[in-house]
Amino acid sequence: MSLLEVKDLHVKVAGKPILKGLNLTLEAGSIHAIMGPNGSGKSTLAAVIAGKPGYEITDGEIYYKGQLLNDVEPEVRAQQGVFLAFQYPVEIPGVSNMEFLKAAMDNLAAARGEEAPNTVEFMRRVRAIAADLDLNPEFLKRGVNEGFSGGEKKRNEILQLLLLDPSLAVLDETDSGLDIDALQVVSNGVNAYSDAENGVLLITHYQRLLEHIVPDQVHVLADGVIVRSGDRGLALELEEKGYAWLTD
Amino acid sequence: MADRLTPAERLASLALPDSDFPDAGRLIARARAGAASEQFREFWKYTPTAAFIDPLAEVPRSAPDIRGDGQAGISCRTLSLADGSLETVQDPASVERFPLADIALLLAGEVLLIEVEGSVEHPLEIDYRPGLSTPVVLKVAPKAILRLIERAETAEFLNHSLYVHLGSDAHLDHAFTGLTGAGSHWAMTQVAQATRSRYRRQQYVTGANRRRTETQILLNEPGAEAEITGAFVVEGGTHLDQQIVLEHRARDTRSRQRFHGIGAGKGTAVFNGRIHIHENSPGSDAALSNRNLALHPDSVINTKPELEIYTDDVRCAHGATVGQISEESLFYLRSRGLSPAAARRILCRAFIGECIEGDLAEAAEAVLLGNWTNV
Repeated sequence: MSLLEVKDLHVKVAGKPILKGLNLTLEAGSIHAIMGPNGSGKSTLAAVIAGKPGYEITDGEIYYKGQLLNDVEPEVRAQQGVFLAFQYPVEIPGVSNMEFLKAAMDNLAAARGEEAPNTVEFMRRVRAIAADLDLNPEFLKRGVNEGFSGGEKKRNEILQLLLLDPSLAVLDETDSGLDIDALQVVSNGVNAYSDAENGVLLITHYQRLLEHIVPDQVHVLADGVIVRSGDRGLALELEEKGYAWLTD
Repeated sequence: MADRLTPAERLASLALPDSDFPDAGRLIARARAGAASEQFREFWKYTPTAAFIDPLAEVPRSAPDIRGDGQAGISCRTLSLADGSLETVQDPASVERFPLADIALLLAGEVLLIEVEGSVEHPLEIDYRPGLSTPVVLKVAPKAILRLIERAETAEFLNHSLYVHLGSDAHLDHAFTGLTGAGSHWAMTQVAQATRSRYRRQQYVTGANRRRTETQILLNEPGAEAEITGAFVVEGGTHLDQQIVLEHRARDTRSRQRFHGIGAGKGTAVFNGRIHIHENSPGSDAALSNRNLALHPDSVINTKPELEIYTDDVRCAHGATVGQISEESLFYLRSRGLSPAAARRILCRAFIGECIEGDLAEAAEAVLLGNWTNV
């Protein structure tokens, strides 16, 4: 059984068709990259896997661990191990990061019938991950993403990935807005997360991310369908030639 | 029939006792004229006056419980209005806005005068009892520093007024709660500020059967500053009306108002924040923000910021919004495994929590951040 299987997926956003018959299979233990020009549907694919309201599946199916995901509520997907690292993480003033992370952990534990981690252990774990990601521990006291730089927001997404430890991680342009050092830190985080049990779907514009996180497969998305799949060499080729030769 | 009376007619029909103090006639005349004015009608547009006016002549008089008045620097006594002129109580500016306060002075015939000097160590606490509460006059001497805690927690009729006089360079931190969701509660605060005095107010209220707070801040002299923060919730069929007037009457005065409110269920919240920058007040700096979440189809929120500016070279910003919880924020939390209800509660707590601080924060949080049935 595949970790993620997307079959002939058609999605409309605000009445406009964006995905037009997309097929994709991701096995546990693998990393796939999705590349493609602006407006090709990359972020829509990420959003629809996470269950974002307003994304209407008009045809096709998304299976996660063999289970049909189409109509599953976003929180249930999260509880079952689907994680989306946001391209634009939301700022929530008034809720501290620590409070937010604890609420997320407690809710996941409750949904899975597990005991919530005790606070001391939880805080130790959060601080350790923050240190690995080069995040000042002070940020844990601040409002969720409030006043964070672009790089801090992305690192905060990876912190959540490492803390919540899902089975499927969809990273929506996590590399955008990162400088070289931050890119390395974030990539280290994703590599630390990736193992034989879970899968990563990397959505990116740039080949440079794939120097740090090496994908098993690269797919090119254009106008709502995957037009080419290959190994990492495809990304290098795209860097050299652009997308036009695939989409014209 | 009684419902159709105008506020002026209601006041006229009150059985007022004969008062022998010199200003009695003036108070009655002013109250009646005030209640008959066009301005009064606008001022009371969303809140019927009957529940506040009709019982006035019959309700028991009450004196507030006061704690902390035995400290060094505080003296407290009753002042008969027969002994002193009205001007020692009220600042004369725009008092015609407050007919209910005038009637309260008339009926009480006296005020509780609290005088403060120096830096007072512990807060002065005022807890109101039901009825027509003896008006309180708080005179804070130049350079004095005081924390004031005022609680209006009764489920019955309550009319109370507080007149604050801040001397130059005086500093008052004032926390006020009305968190009991029943009764008819009318509260008036007038703060008259001298040079460079600072007034900070935190106001935490819920709706009640009827609750109306009227706050008038007079930045009378240069450099005076006022900062007001408030949080409120209406639900359970309650009504809340908050009126705030900031009068910038001198140069380089500064005011900040920030209020967050939630309509968590059936109920009505009215917010009217007025900034009035008078002539010859250059360098005035005023800002007002009122943000609201209407979370229930039967929650009604009326918010109106008002600006009136008669001087050039001032800074003035205002904003009022009524909205819903952000869908993006909600999805972000849900994508981390939180149920929609848990996510909404967190977002509401955060929204209200942004405006909760200071001495009564704990009491405010216990009520305003509660588990609202409809959220």
